[in-house]
Amino acid sequence: MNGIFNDFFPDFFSIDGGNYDDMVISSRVSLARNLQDFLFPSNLTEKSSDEIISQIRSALGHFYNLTDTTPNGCQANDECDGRETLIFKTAAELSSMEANLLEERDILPKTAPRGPKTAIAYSPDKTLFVMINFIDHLRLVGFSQGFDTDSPFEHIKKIASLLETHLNFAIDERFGYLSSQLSELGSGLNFQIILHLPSLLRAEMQEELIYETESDNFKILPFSANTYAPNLLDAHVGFFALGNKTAFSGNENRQIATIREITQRIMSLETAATEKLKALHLGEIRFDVQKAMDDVKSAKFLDAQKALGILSALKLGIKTGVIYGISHWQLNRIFYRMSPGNLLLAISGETVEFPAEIKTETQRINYLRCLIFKECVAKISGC
Amino acid sequence: MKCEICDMREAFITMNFFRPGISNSLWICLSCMQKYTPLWQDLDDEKRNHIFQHIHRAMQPRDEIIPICPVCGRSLKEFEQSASAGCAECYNVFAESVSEALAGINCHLPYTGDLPLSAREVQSSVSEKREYLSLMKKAAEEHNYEEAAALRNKLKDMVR
Repeated sequence: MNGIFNDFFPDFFSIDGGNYDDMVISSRVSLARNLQDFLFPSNLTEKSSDEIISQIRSALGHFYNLTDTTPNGCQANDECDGRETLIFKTAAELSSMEANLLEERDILPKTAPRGPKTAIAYSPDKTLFVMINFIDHLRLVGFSQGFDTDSPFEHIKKIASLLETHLNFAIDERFGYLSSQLSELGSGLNFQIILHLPSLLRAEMQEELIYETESDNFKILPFSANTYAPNLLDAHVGFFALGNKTAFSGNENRQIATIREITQRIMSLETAATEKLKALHLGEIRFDVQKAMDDVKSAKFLDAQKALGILSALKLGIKTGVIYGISHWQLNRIFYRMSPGNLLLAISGETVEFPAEIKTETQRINYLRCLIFKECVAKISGC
Repeated sequence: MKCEICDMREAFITMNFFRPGISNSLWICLSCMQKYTPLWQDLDDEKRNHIFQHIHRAMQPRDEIIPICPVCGRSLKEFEQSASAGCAECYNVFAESVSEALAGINCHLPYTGDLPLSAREVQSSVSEKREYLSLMKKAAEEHNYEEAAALRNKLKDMVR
């Protein structure tokens, strides 16, 4: 399947690894900063927007090799000219598909305020994004597969510290780093951990999740077909997004420690619930996994919601030892590959032959998604 | 919200009237906006008087003074409803509201996290702005609007 794909994101799923990848799909950490003496992006003039882009670009240029396209011969995070490479584009240079993909990943805000002119810089492996004039003047976003908030945090923190030697960030001794969003006032840190907790969902233990997160100013929302349901009780497929409500509680290290503790507590709950499920309901799990695989084998199209349910069943199947032959990281990669934006990019980037009866874009996306799952199911043994 | 001129149709826009430290607004519907606002000089006396009465009423100080950021024009209501600021100065103007919002989630001032190496330099600039803001408020309270407006302009000039 690799041959027909032109994945935009995320290349880091191409390699095995990732802590607790049975329960955590990916970790994202972002850091918001604003420049002193400029209005926040929603109120900026075009001239000031340009000035901010120019200042940040110039500051980044001290530490990165900035290029408009992926340089030939430079692979992911290669060091060119002694410096790592960042691909720099103004928002106008982003294709609609790239913008769509970044919105799907919650990197580009869908509706949040932005300046009249915006820009983005990203590492070739798409684990680091520098957003300019979206919500805040500067937003550094670091990604990692599995559960790992430390390395993306260290990465973006290092960049922020380097940039601080060339840029004056807006701060206040009472409030810390000033962000346009009250929720990011303080350290400017924002987390998002995508979790897969099917056993807790089956055991209807959503209230425990609320208890584990609310007391520490964190929130957990059900994730379904690239949207977030506002109510935890609306969870259907076992995927959740864990994040912080405020960036003000203690210093950065404490916030990192808190998200680590909360995630570990949630994972312990899930592990205990899985053990219980294995002991009491293995037959049901086996039935559900078999049904999911049969659905894939007989299907010609798969919509995003249905596919998410199948993915969840397969991951639970591996976790409970019902099936084998495929790993969690391969399924985690499918989690991102099956998104409409990524599939659309795959369709446009390569020559994929579709049966004559497939005419609409949605049909093509659902057809391609089904192919991914068929290839995946073909590798599975057991059940 | 109903249009404050015709009191019949749903309001479509607000006209904001600003005096240093005080913001009043008049909510009007699309129809009244088309009827009264485009060509003031073309309106007959009756219509002028009619709209003038409403503007005059809107300009009267209300029971509660609505704080407004002198730099970006964001009102306290907008700030609280959107939980977002229009500029760094909003945090000075709405400091009390920010402090209350943070206290509501068990977070208390001051921020105890890391600050940049250049923090001292930046803080002095923030303090300077805070001083202007305090002088501006004082001038407005003493009805010295010219001085308040001059201070507001100084504050605005400090931000691009």
